[in-house]
Amino acid sequence: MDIHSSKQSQLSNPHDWVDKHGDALYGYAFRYLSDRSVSEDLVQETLLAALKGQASFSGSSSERTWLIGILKNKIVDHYRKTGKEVKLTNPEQVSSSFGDTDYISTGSDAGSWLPHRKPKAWAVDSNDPVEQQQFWAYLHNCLENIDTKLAKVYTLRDIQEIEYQEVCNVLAVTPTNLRVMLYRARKLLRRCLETNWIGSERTF
Amino acid sequence: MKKIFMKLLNRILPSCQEVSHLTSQAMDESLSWRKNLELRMHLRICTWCRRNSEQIRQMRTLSHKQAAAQNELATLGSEARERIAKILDQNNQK
Repeated sequence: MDIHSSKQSQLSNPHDWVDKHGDALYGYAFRYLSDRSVSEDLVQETLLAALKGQASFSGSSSERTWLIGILKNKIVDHYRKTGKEVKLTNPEQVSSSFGDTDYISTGSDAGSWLPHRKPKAWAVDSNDPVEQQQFWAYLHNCLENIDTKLAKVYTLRDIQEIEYQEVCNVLAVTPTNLRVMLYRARKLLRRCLETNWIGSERTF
Repeated sequence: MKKIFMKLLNRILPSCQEVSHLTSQAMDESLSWRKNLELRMHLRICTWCRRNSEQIRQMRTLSHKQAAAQNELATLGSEARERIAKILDQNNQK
């Protein structure tokens, strides 16, 4: 099986790793963490772990893929640690900050929009850079004002467009749980944008 | 006549509240053909739910556009690069 063994990749000199993979690892981490220094730290941890674990490299994947695999575990660890903090400080906030107050609750019209909660007409001109910037600025403000866990979920899924299952893995939540959290996050943020941005500056 | 027809449709179709759940869910996974049909029909006749759907979808589109632009610029800073390279070399010699 000469063909096989010649296809096996080998690790390069660790001295070159930062130059070869630094940006790719950093970019990958940044998508998940949206934080410069945390992302840098995780790149460092990843490369140090890789250095110690060189023996575990099987050669069946590329060096880059192997390093990304290690980084993924570091990202999961990071979320596990910070996720716990979120849970300890506000265990019930996710559910209590949410009552479905947008809809009629009883009678034959139950489940229909309450008159004053009906979504107002607004659309951002996707090609207008000024509107895009404004949208982004307001969205960031809104993200800071909702539950941190919901903000995280929204950032990973709708801003960074990370795969649904990947988000479940990283945050250690079930698919059903994630579905509910995304529903809440999108709803709260849409409402926040409508109230603060559309309600103040924009006229239609 | 139209009113009666709408009332009847509302009976059959899921409520706005259910539809807003389905709207969000449909952004992440494919719905069963039946749910999908119910969702589409409701959105066709309900301005508010249609707005809601269009707006949260546009929020995602715009967010992603911006994130993609920022991600492109995300490179390891020179300070971090040097620091990590140094630590790596130190540990490599051991």
